[in-house]
Amino acid sequence: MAAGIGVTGAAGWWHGGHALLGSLGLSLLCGVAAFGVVAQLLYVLGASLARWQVLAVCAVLACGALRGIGPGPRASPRPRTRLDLLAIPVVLVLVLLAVDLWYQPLWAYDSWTFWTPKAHALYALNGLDPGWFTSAALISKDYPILLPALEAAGFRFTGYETGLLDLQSWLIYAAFLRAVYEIGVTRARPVVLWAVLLMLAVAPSALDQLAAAEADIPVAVFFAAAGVCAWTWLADRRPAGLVLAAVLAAGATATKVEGLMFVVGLFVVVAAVAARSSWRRAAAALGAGGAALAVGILPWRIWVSHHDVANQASFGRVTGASFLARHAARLPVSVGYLGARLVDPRAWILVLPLAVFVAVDAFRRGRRRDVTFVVGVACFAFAGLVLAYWSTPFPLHYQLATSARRVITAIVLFAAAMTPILSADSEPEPG
Amino acid sequence: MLGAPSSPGAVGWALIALGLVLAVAALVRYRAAIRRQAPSAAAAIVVLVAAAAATPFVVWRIVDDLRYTTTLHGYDRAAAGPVQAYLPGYLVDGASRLIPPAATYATVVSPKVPWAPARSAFGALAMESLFPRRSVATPADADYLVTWGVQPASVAHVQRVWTLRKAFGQSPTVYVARTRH
Repeated sequence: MAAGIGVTGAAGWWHGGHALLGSLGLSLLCGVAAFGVVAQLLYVLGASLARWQVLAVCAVLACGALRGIGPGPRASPRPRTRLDLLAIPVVLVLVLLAVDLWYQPLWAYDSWTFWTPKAHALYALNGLDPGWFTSAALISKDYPILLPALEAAGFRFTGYETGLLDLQSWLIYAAFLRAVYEIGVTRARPVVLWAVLLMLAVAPSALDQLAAAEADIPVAVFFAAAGVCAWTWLADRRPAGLVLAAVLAAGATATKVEGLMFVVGLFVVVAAVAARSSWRRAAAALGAGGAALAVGILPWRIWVSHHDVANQASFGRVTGASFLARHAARLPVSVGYLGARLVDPRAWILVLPLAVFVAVDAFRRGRRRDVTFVVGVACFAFAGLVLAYWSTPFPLHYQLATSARRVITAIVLFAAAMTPILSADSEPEPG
Repeated sequence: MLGAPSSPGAVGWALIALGLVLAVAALVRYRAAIRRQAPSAAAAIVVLVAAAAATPFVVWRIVDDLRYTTTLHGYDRAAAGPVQAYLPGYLVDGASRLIPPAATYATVVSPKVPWAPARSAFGALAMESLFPRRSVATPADADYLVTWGVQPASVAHVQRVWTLRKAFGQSPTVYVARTRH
C-alpha cells in the first residue's frame, strides 16, 4: 500500500489527504503492479530480494508520496443515498470470502504445479536460479514472474505459508472493486455503480478463480484498471491517468502471457482515440504503451531467450498462415465458446449484458468516443484470445474447456469497470 | 472452490428458486417506478435485483465450501493439488532420501497409467518432492530416474534400482534408479 501511495502520488493522481483517501484502491493496485515489475527486473538482474530488499523497494516507491503531500482541493462529497447501503452486502460477501480463502488449500493445477513452486524457488533459492527455472519438469517456464515474485516477497515475512496466497489475490480483487467505486462515485449513476459492484462481489466465476490462487484475476484486474486509467486520461487530459495506465499495463504484461496482447490492444485503441484530437497525444499513448512493454515484459523475455526456454506465446505461432488456414474451422468454435462464456449468467451474472445495454444507451446519448474506446479495447482483447485458441498447438476443445472461463475475465472486468462511467449523464468528450 | 458442490443440489436450487421468485415479485411490484428511470438506470435496477437474488445462493455456496475445507488437515490439505489430478500425494515420498541434493533427475511415466491428469502431473509432484533438485528432459542425461510404471533399465543404463512404491490398485510401481553415464 505504501509503495502504491508513492506511485499514485508521484504520478500526480492525488494531492492532499482527502484525495488520497479516495484513491486507496487504485493505489494498492498500482503498488502491487509496480513492486511486481521492479521485483521481476531485479530477479532478472540477479538480485535475491531478501527481506530488507523487499522493504527497500517499497520504501523507494513510497517516496513518490512526497509529491502529493500538502493541502489539496477538497471536492464536495456526493450526497449519500439509500443505495450506498448496498456497500454492506458487498463488504459482507467479501469478508466471508476472505475467511473461506484462508482455509483453501493449494489445489488448482496451475497453482501447485508451477505458480507457487516458482515462488517457493525464488524464496528458497534466493533468486532466479537458472538451473531450477529451466528444469524439464517445470510447466510454463516462459510465463513471467510477477505473481511468483509477489508470493516470494510474502514468504520472506511469513515463511513458506501457502494459506496466504488466495488472500493475496483477494486483496487485489477487493482493491479493484474499491478502485471501480473511487473512479465511478463522482461520475456514475449510483444504481449502475452498485449493480456492478454487487455483481462483481458475488460473481461465482470470480469467487472460484480467487480460490484457485492462479494469475487470471491479477492480470484481469491490472488490465481493467489500466483501461479505466487510460480512459481518465482521454477524458480529463490529466497525465496521471496515462502514467498509471502504463504502470498497471506493465503489471499485466509481467503477470501472464495474454497480458501482452491485452496491453497492445489497449494502447493501440487509446492512441487511435487520442489521434482524433492530436497526433502528439496519440504518440504519447503509444510511448506509454511501449514503456509498459519495455519494463513489464522485455527483461523477462531476454532472460527466457538467454536461457533457451521455449516460448509458448511466440509471434511466429500466431502468424503461421498455413497453420491458421488448415485450422480455420477453429475460428467459429472459439468465437462461439468464448462468447458463450462471456454472457454465462452462472459465471458473471449479468455483467456483460448490462455493459452492452449501457454502452448502446451511451452511444445513443452521444458519448460515441467513449463507447468506441470501450468497444475497441474489448474487441481487441477478444480477437487476441480467439487468435490464441486458433493457433494453439494443443487440442482446441481441451484448451477451451480448461482455460476459456478464466482468460475472458479480463474482458469482463474491463467492461464492468467502464459500465458505471458510461452510465453518467454527461462526460467531457475526449479531445 | 475445492469444497463447493459442482451442482447446486436441493438446498441450492431452493435458494435459487426463492431468489428468482423474490426478484420477479420485486420487479413486478416496482415496475412503474422502474419505467420512470432512464434506460441505463432501469436496466441496472433489473440487474441489481438479479444479483441480489443470486446472493443467498452464492453465500450458501461459500459456507458449503468452508464446511469442507475447515475439515482438511495434514496430508489432506498438503496433497489437495495432486489428489485433484488423481495422484496420491505420497507417491514419490522417500525419493529425496535416495537422490542427492546436487544430482539431476528425469521422470518417466508409463502410458498405461490410466489417468491422463495424473500422467501429466507426475513430473510436477516429483519436482515438488525433490526440490531443489533439477530435472532434465532426457533420461540418459540424468543422474537419477524416477519412473512410474516403467522399468528404469528400459529407458537408460542404470547402476542401481530401488522400488519406491509397489503397485496398488491401478497404480503401477514407482521406481528410483541411479543411472550409469
